[in-house]
Amino acid sequence: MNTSKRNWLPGFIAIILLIAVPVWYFTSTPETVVDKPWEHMPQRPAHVDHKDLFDGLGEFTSGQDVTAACLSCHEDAGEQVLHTAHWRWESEPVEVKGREGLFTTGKKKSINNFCIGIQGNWASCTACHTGYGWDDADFDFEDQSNIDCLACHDNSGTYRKGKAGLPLEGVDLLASAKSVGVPNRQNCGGCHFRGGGGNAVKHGDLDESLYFPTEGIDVHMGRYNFLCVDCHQTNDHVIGGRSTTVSLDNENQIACRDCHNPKLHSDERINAHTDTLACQTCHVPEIAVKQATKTHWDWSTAGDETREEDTHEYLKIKGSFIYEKNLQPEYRWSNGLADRYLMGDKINVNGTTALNAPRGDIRDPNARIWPFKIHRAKQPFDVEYEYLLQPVTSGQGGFWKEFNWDQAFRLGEEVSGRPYSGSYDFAATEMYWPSTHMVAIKEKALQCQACHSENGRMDWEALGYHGDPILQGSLTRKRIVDMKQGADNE
Amino acid sequence: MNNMGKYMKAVILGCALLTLFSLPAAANGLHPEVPILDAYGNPVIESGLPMSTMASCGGACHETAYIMANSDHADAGASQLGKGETAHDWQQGPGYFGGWDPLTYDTDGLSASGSLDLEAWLKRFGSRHVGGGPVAGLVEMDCLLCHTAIDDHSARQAAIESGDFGWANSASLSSLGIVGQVDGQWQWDVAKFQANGALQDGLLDIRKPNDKNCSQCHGLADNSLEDPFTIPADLSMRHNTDRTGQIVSPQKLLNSGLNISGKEELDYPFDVHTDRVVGCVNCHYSLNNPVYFQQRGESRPVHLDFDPRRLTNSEYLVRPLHQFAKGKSTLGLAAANSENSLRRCETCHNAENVHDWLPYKQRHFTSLACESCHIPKLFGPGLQSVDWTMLDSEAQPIRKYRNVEGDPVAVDSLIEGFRPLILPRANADGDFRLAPFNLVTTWYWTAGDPAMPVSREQLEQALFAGERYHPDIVAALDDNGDGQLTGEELRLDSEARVSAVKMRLAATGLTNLQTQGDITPFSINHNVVNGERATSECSTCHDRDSILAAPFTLSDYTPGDTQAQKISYASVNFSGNVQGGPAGDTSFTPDSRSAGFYIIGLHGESWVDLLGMLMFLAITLGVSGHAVARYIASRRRGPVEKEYERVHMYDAYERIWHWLQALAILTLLFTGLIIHKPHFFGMFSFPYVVNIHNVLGFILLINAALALFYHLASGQIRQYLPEPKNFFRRAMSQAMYYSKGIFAGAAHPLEKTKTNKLNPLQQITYLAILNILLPAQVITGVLIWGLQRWPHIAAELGGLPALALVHTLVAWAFATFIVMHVYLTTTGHSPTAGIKSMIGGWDDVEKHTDGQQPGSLEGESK
Repeated sequence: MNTSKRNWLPGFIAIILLIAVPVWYFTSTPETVVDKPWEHMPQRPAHVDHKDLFDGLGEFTSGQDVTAACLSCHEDAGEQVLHTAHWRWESEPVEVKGREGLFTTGKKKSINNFCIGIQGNWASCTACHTGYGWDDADFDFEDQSNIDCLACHDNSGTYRKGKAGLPLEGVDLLASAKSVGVPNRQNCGGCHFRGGGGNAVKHGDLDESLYFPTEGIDVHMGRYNFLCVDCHQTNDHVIGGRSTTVSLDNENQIACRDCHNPKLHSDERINAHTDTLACQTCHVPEIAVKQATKTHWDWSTAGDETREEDTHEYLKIKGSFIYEKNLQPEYRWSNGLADRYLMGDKINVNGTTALNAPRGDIRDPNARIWPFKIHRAKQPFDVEYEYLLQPVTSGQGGFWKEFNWDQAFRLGEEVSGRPYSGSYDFAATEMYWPSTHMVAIKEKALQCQACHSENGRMDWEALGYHGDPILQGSLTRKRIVDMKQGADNE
Repeated sequence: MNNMGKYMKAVILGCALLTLFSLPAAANGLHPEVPILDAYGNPVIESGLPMSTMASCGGACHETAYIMANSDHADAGASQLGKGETAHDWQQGPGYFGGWDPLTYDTDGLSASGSLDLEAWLKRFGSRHVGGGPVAGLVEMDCLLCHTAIDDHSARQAAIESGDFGWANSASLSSLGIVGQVDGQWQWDVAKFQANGALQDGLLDIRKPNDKNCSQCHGLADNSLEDPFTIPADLSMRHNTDRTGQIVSPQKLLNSGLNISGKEELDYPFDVHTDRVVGCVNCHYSLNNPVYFQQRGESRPVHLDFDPRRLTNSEYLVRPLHQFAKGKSTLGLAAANSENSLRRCETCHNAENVHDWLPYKQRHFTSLACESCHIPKLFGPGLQSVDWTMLDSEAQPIRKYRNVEGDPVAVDSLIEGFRPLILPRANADGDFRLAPFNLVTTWYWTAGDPAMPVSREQLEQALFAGERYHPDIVAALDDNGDGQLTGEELRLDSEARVSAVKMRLAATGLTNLQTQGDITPFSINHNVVNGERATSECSTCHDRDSILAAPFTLSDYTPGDTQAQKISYASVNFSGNVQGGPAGDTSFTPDSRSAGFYIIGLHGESWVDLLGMLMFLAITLGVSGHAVARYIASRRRGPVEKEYERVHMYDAYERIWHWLQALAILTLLFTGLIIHKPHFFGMFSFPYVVNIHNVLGFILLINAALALFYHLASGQIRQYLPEPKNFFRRAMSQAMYYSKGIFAGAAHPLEKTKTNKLNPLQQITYLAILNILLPAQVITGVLIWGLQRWPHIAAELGGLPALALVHTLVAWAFATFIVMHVYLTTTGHSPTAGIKSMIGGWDDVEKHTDGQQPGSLEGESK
């Protein structure tokens, strides 16, 4: 009987297989792409109440007093901040494609086409510097005692900075110090929502509507209550994120893909777009959703006292403007870098000079089509040297008081050390502001017809296509990306 | 200096406009500005005569005579007069021209003698007709209607309605200021022309038609994503929307301007094809357009999938066929030449690749049109009924929309989506597939002999006295006494109301007045959603509450108590029943079963289930009675002493084989029951159970085959074959044992041994089961499973209806057998002995001593 018992075992196993294999075969489900963005969300640190920590440290009569108190416990913080862009307003020296040598850039020595530049205008501009007392060229960037901790860490909402970044008269420094915590929207927004001299002026995708946004303005902040620092995560006081409007490199950048799988769309056709389009292209269909942003600035009309003033149309000190709301971005290839105009570069006198034209084109596998707010301006340049001029505007003897351009440029010559020939004119310039905030709810993301139709958003030929790729195909592009992926895999 | 800002704005605006105009696809740069000529070939700026499209577009470029002669839109069914299917005697043809569309009520122009008054017809319907064809002598075919961006054709319409036919087509150009009326006379604006008589550059963009052009007549189509979509006031002119609720727009429902119930969940476009930039003409292309041209299947040799020989673009542009790829529409143009020329979904889409989740996908593809699942709901206003027996105060019929409360044009009217009715529709190849439809019921008065619909003029004359309703009508219909007729007061739903209207009509001289009703099916093919949104729940169809058998509302009331008649078109199998409700409402219940469809889970012959259940219950009752009798007898009799001998009865393989088969059969019966009547087993997933049933079926089949091999190889098969010798006597004795001996504790008539386990009755039973029931069940089961692989074999055997019937009946027989079988295992020396032996293999067998005849009563031998 033992033999017969052993004999039936294989049969038994065969029968089990006979049942199991078809059941497994018929009931197995296909793989699905799983998107778990929450796994990438940082844990916000537990709040440490600083209310009772300032007892016995004496009275705070200046911002520096508060900083000293902070640094007495946070010993490394001072040293960390000294190396940040928020403090130095200047990058580490980097190589720039197409140029010899190393270059630094940053607010400290750049020209833009809004208020033009800080040189000679320090006291006004540095109201947004995370430090105290930067009002001339000689500010000491190695002195920790002038660091402004409260600009970013005040949670009371009462802290305000004025000229040269000094706390305004009447600010209760002790109350502010007691409130410190993780930077909130007000800390970041106080400067970044007001870039360019006022609310909503500069970015288009960053303005004061983001203090308390609805989900219709920004889905992350409105629906999920994100803080700025949830995405702009910070290491040793170095805050993540970069913009080609000031940066020469693309290090320490933030991307949607940090949290989201780009192939998460259930629609194969949409997934096929993610090698070509930035997520923002569809998911930021418009910017300046609630508050109009400045799209044009003509400095050449400034100084006309006969003209009626209106903050959104004309100011004697600044010239004429156009503001637009619900602004549809413009689309350009971008690989994350830009050709930054550096001080002293020659401009295109007769045409338009781009101050930070995004790099990349259809043949660049790392480039994607990005949405930009393009700020178009007319700003002063030196007719003889053919470079953009840095006027002194807000400073002593500056244009905003005297309305004398010639004098403003002569003062600018002194502070920048760059010669002024005495002959100036105004040239057209463009700045590219990537639209990356104000992410819409998915229901409002762009649909096919927004781009692929008779009146679509894309200028296909300018982007390097023969025409709408829905009709013309985009084989070249696909081949470039495939080749890149092939090379990466090797 | 104040001007600087304005100057700058102007510059910027100018740049923006430049960019807009330089967009490549926006304008057709190829089409030259050609002289606008009159009918005599002279420039209109010289002659001052109306434009002739035939002359201006013709000449060296397009062969306009050819275009008109081959235009379905121009012909409008005129060439089909006296031919084709007509639903009513008073129709002269099946198409738009000379046909009968009860929704638009196009009796005008028809005379009792059967002749057509062309001018009357044109005045009423010319704004929906491109010109040319039957009315070529009055209005030329209007190329501008479809080939320009002009969307205001009110001047053309006004000219046609006033009988100013000659200027009708030119009048459209007034919206661009090219022509205008001075003192009632049309005059060309010379400033808009070049010296050669052509228009100034860029004034008129001649191009291929886009969705907006088609939308003028066919249904709402709008490519805009910016402005929230709303229903325009001329809804009833947009037939495809008005009659079916189809809206061709890329907008997501939740972003539209429609007040749709639960709209925040509807995150998908009205029409996925429009969303994906597929325009009307991408599917409804000109049939000789070389880009799309494809020989029809029947005229293409079998070895050829693609014929590369085709017209050049210029040849095409000279003679572009104006017959467009189309399906088969209800109350359409009766375009016999282009009917069913449209590519089907499957010619572009590879359904095979993306329906892996769907069990029996081939079977579904051959039974269902893609639209049945991919157009689950319509959200546009779709008509339910149009009642011409009474007119509202604006002399319009009483229209009721299926899915809108109140005025469909008002933005605050709440829209509930409606699920279309699924009816069998014939494909071009004649095969019927289930496809979505809307049914619109219309009522109207007929009069005279032979009966003809009462004309609108007669109706208005009868119902109204000047601007107001006739007092007799108000007296009969005004329930609330406010002097106005509104809402339900306009329904002729009582004898008194009907006779009041009838009296008024009779007063205008009409005789033989009757109310009549049509139920017209309109096919639904647009508003397709992608797979994510398509119907994928099996129970939608495979259930008692299947949409394939659900009543579809026809109307809320029945004017004149008139049973509307189903108007069937060749492509529709209109099988089903119209039922009346208590409030005069009516509904239609489709019957796909009688159309040859058998939907598992929905259909089934009730007599089969009744018979099966009776058989099952009878046997269950019988064995229960037998068991009770045995119990009572054994209590009376007391225990019977017998001698037993322990025998190894069943080999391990036999036992495994038996139990696996037992498990398979029981589970098959259970899963089969779920598939047969899914609504009793809501907790089970239908497709999952179908899968299990199939897998189990094959396990049973393989197991049976292995067992057969075992029995043949080992010779054990002999046990199943009855020994002819004395078979009848032995069978009788076995029967006697069950009916008599068993109660008295008699010895089992069969001396059960390892090589002779089965008694004669068992042998017969198994012979029947193994040779009749099992093969019948396996064959029908495999064929049902294989419906999509070998549909022809199944069809030969009567298709699913016959197969399912046999399969169900045999399943009942198996269930009955199992009751019997299990009971009989208890008839051994102890109730559980049989089961134990089949588990352990060892059985205690009665010792049959010499002289003791098997089957003899023990009492007798003592």
